[in-house]
Amino acid sequence: MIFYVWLILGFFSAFVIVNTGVLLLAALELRHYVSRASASGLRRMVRSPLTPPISVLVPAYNEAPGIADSVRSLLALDYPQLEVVVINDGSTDGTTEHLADVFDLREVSRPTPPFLPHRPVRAVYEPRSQLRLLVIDKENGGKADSLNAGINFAAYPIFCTIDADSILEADALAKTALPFVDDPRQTIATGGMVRVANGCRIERGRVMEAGLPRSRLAMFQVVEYVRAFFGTRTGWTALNALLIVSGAFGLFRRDVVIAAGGYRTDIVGEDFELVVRLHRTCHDAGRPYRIVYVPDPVCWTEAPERARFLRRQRRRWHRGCLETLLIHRRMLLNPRYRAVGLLAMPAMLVFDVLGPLIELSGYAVTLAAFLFGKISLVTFVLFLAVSVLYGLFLTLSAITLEDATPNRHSAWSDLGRMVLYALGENLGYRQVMHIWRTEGFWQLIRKAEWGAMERKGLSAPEQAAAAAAGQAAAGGHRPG
Amino acid sequence: MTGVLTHLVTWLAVAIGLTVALDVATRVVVRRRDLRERRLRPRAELAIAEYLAGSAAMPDMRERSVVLEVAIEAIYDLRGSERARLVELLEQGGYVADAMSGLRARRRVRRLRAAETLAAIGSPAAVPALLAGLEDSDVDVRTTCARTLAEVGGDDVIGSVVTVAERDMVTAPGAAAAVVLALGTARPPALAHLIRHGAAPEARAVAIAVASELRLSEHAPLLQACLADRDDLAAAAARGLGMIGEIRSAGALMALAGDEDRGPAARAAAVTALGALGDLSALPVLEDQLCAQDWSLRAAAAGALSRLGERGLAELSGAAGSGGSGLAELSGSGGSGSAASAGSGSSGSGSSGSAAPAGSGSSGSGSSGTASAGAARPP
Repeated sequence: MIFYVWLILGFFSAFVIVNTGVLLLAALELRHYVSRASASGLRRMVRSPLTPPISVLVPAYNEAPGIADSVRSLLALDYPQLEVVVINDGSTDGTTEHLADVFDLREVSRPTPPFLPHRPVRAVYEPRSQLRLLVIDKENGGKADSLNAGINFAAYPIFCTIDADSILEADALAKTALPFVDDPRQTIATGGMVRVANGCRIERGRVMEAGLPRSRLAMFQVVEYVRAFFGTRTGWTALNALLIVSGAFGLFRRDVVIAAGGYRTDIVGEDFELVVRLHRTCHDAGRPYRIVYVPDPVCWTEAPERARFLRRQRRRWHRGCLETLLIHRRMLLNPRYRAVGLLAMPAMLVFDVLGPLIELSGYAVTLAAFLFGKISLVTFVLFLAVSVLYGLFLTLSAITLEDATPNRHSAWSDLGRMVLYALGENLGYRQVMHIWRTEGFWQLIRKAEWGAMERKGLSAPEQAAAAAAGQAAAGGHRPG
Repeated sequence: MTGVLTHLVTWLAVAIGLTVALDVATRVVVRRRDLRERRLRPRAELAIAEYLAGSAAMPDMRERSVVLEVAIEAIYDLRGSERARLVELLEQGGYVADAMSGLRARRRVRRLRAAETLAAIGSPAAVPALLAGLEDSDVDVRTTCARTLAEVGGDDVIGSVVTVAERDMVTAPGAAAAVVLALGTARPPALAHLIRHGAAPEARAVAIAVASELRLSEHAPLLQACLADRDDLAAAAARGLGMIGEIRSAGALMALAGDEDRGPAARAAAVTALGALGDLSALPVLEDQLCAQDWSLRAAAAGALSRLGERGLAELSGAAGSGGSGLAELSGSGGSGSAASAGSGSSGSGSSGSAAPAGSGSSGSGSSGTASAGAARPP
């Protein structure tokens, strides 16, 4: 038993070393980003004819209540040339009809490009006006299948994936596309920050006033997201070993994704798997590339506020991680894949996939050791304190990094709440998440179904009802 | 074990305390700066607006950083005499001199900010400092200086600017492309050197894209010569000729479109350009491409034919009626269908190797697959 306790301490030490290293890298990367970022650079990019045009892909399944506002806000983004491609994935709530009404769409004959396979397209619609909007109505095949259809129909060399219930800040697309302008040959994917929209005042698909959610569960997720995006993704970017570009908001080079085979439709973590596959194919081909997390641009999304939905989301994420690591197990500890194979994937396997199991068993064994008198009460309490304090340290460091980012100045009271929830997160929330994520193992064996999702739309006046419904549960966006 | 854990807890508590202190300090500094700016900005904006409206009184220059920020924001939206007046104000206020000395600072960030300030102001008085900045060790500073020189420097500095653009195209392609764009905008003839064969392929690709986007018809002969180059350059040149509307290059484009030894990306770009030119003599070539093996080429041909008016549409309908591989769908009469039924060729994957230069796809084409999808849409 004592041996196991030492084993847990060894695991914890490795966790501390890796996470502190990633945090330091994140701080350096953020410093570099802030020193280079300038308003004039962004303005120049938005005006330049050399800025690559972007196809914004919006997969939609039963999104009728909020889809029109989402499309309107996407069409109004501050970007020189973009088109919005909505892929209706066999909705049963009249999503296409609603869009047709609002945007005066007409059916057009359009060949289906053959680059990626997907479920058959039933019809393609365009507005009668000059709006750069395309609506693809296809048979139901899931989000990955919809994205493959969208990639086929996309007219531009870069595509952006965004969930129908997410909201981009006006300059988010331009900021996230900047690496493609800086290095068009090597940059193949970029991702931006995803923030929790619960608590924000939203009108007609725009965030009018940012704020923290009232719901405790959503607050915990705010803290989680900040740690995952600022503390983790920024750090892995410095090593070009970023494994996750959120499905809620990511930009990709279309030709590279097509060459890699597009999204897999037979797994649940298709966004994670695609990024790992991009790493793999680029390394296998000996092609220099960059996958970048940009810390500044913001995509707002709903977080589930009910435990039932959150549990389902976390189980699915965990299952997605595990599936992807199993598919690409050949990359693990393989020096051919450099930091991705030697650091990022092993870290993901040990700390994110096996970590919950190891940590939970650590609590159990330590408690047993204490009950059987193998360790003293003081040791037991100190053991728990170390675990909680280190988690708190990571979260607070990420909050500090966030506060060092330009234009992110929340109120003092918000900081107080964040610190409180950062403490609370390590004193119960994290452990519950570990239990739910561990259930993901079981799900992988059983191949359980996803469960239905209910969308009510973010915009007022439905906002309050939507937040209460926790409708984002089945879609969801992995924070880290 | 207890001793180790006690030490760990102590160190963690200290680390947490320091982190919170650092965060609070960061917030205090940022908040003070924001408050100060919020307080001073309206005054600075008003003073500059009044000065630009003709007031003889110089704005209060005590809050230099705020005045500079407001002035630089305004300068982007000003043209002609108002812009010149604001530049003069900044020169007289010593901002240009400050930035020129900032270019010699030890810290990279300071040099970069100084270079950006000079780029925004665009004062000819800064040319000597900008020329010195071309030798800076930092690529961002170097290219920012080069970009500014392209806009405000004389003919004698263009050679140095071109050298920087060429040299930094591999290490900082985006920044170097901005230099080429500035050259194309301010001094179009200077692009000729970059488009010609002697220059590095990366620089040539960007120069071709710039000439295309800016519709620089004087470079059409050079673009036409590029049609014989490697596929990515030929594709970019073909797109450019289509965008410029260089009807004299139709023959060369037809030759490229029908050349089966060339890659589908270049051929599809030539086909799309022929559609853009609207030359009816291209009809037979385009009709031939409707039977090409590659889907993107077929789609480009269908798109091009649909832009050639009634005769093009008639050819397209005729070809669809004859039942060629996937033609019914490409011509629009097939409506929807599964991906598998849309044709056998797939150049989407084959195009991954052709790195698109910055903005090469802004006409709806960055890869062969992209080009095809764009071209397949009716105009």
